[in-house]
Amino acid sequence: MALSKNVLVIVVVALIVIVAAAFYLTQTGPTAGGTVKVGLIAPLTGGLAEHGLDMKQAAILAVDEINKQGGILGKKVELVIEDTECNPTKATAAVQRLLTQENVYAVFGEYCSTVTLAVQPSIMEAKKLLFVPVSVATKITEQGYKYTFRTCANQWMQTTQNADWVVEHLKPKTAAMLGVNDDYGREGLKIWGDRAKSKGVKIVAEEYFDKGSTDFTSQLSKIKAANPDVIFVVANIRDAANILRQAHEIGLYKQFVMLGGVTSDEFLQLADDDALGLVHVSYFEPTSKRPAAAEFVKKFRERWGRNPAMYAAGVWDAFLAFKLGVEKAGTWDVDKVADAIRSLKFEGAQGTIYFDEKGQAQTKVLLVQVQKVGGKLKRVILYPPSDKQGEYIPPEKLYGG
Amino acid sequence: MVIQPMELLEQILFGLMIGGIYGVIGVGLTMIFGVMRLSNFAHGEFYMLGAYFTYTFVTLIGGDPFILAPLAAIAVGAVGIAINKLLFKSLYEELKEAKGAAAFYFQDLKFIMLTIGLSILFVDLALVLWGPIPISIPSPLTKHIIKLPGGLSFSLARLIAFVVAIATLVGLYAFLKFTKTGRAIRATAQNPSAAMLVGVNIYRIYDITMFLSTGLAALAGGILGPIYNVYPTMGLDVVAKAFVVVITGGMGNVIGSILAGFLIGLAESLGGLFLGTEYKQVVAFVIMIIVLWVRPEGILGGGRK
Repeated sequence: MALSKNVLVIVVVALIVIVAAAFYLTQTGPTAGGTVKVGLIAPLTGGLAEHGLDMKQAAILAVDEINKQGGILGKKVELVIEDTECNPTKATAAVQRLLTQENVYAVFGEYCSTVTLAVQPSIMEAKKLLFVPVSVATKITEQGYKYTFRTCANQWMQTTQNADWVVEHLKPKTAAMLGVNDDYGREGLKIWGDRAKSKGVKIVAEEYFDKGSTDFTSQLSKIKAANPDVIFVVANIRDAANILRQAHEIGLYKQFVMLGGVTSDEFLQLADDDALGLVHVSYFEPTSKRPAAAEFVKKFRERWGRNPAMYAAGVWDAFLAFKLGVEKAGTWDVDKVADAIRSLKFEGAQGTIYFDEKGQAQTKVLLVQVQKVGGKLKRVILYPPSDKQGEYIPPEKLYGG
Repeated sequence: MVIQPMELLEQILFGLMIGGIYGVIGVGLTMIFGVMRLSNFAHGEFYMLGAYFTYTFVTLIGGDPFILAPLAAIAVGAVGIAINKLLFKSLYEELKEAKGAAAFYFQDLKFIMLTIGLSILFVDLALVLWGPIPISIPSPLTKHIIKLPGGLSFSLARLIAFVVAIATLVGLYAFLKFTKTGRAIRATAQNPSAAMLVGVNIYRIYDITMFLSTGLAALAGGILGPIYNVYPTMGLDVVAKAFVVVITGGMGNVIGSILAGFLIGLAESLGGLFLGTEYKQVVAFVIMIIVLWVRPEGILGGGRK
């Protein structure tokens, strides 16, 4: 009995030592080794998997490119990908795994703002860099975190730029709004509505739909009855395609305006001719002639055989910021790297990128219209003038009276 | 807020059309519950499979999805039978051995867990087989718009989906009411041991029930696929609504489910119109809660065929 007790004590002590040693090793980080780990969190399964795919493919491509060029400060980058299903609970567990077991240097993600906001504090507490390439909730970069950087325009930037363009160029007297009934949709409608109202546009209808809805006829019917000049919609590609199809089904042919979420070739396939005439925000166009964008598109096409969607560009630029930041700092010291990223100015896929004090990239969004060019649906850039590819065509001209 | 009469009419029209679809999805779920006492949480996935099978048939064979949807429904029904024979039967036998005699073993928690597992499996399988990007099934019928006087319009596809839904519901009712097999199904639903005693092969009845239930869900998926979009989690989006319909109509009550389908479809439309569209979803659940409160057995009572 006494012997087995001693054995037990020894085993327990040994275990504690091993765990403590392992903990110590993971905490100090792989500074001496030849690789540095970074994590990507994205919805790879579940209802948003299509967007997660863009993020994943861009991240794999970016890491391969970095390693091909000899890594960062002589270190190879190793990518650890975690699926979140856009679920804050799952994402929190995934981030814990990345931080404690994988000991990543930086985390890239997420798609959903709710998830990013949920995992942000633990990443900041662990003093790791967080690159946000997709989530647009304004709050993410408004909390004063030193290690958070967003490489896409936030909700406020894209929504106000959208509203400003609509008011200036379409000169509507009345507008209707339709959005998904969550924080993303509600914030979007509030910002756009306030901006439009402040410029003298009357909001005649404000409608919402729940996540997972497929039928929007009851919302669209109310909007049709209110007879607005333009209709602003916040929706993902699946919902947006259904909304446009059903609007045309019930005879609603007004000018639809949307945010950047619908910028993808899959959306054009899904919505088909019903997308014709739609004006929306885009962070990135694969047709762009800018060299940095063209290079990214070429590499992405070679690797994956399709055009990158907007989210892919955000992820690519996030990895660029990461690489350039560390190289500029000349060290892996996270505080110095964070300072270096703040002072960066570089040509990314989305244009010239530099960050404000809060870590928000100052990017200009594009406004595009879906038009038929040579019998095929294409996004034609209307704004800014430097990228302009064509003229706005009102729905009356596209669809008749 | 002034509501124009045409707007009201339009909402009623679309509410009823959606209600018919709710009915078809709900009726399969209520049948499987009524006959087998199985709460099938994978029901939405058969709806999803129906849409993907229809899409696959359209790309392989070519033709209109509305013609191929019944074919897809039969194929998914066969999957339903296979699941019953391969997965359910051995668990059923095991429970039977432990408890003896024929009874409603599908009520067992193990079966419920099994259907939840199947649901996850099918969603992931669809993700692997067809990918995460939503698909639209092309049909010229969705582009064919029927215009009524007063600015009312809807697509021919929607009308066909509604007609198919009604025809299916009437056909199912007639089948259960007037055929010998239908009678055997109803007998098994009431009391499986008694049904066995009078010579009903209840395993066959369970096969038929699985076939009908999964086939009905798949048919709904096949005819809605061209109208909406097809994606791996589409089943998860409808299953909650299907349970609302089933509970409101009375668990296991086929007619109740059909009526509840129309009731919920209409209530959502009118609720959206009068209360605001952000309350659409709430309306359906409030109706369910009121029914559970006032008439817990459902609007027509549970279990009656």
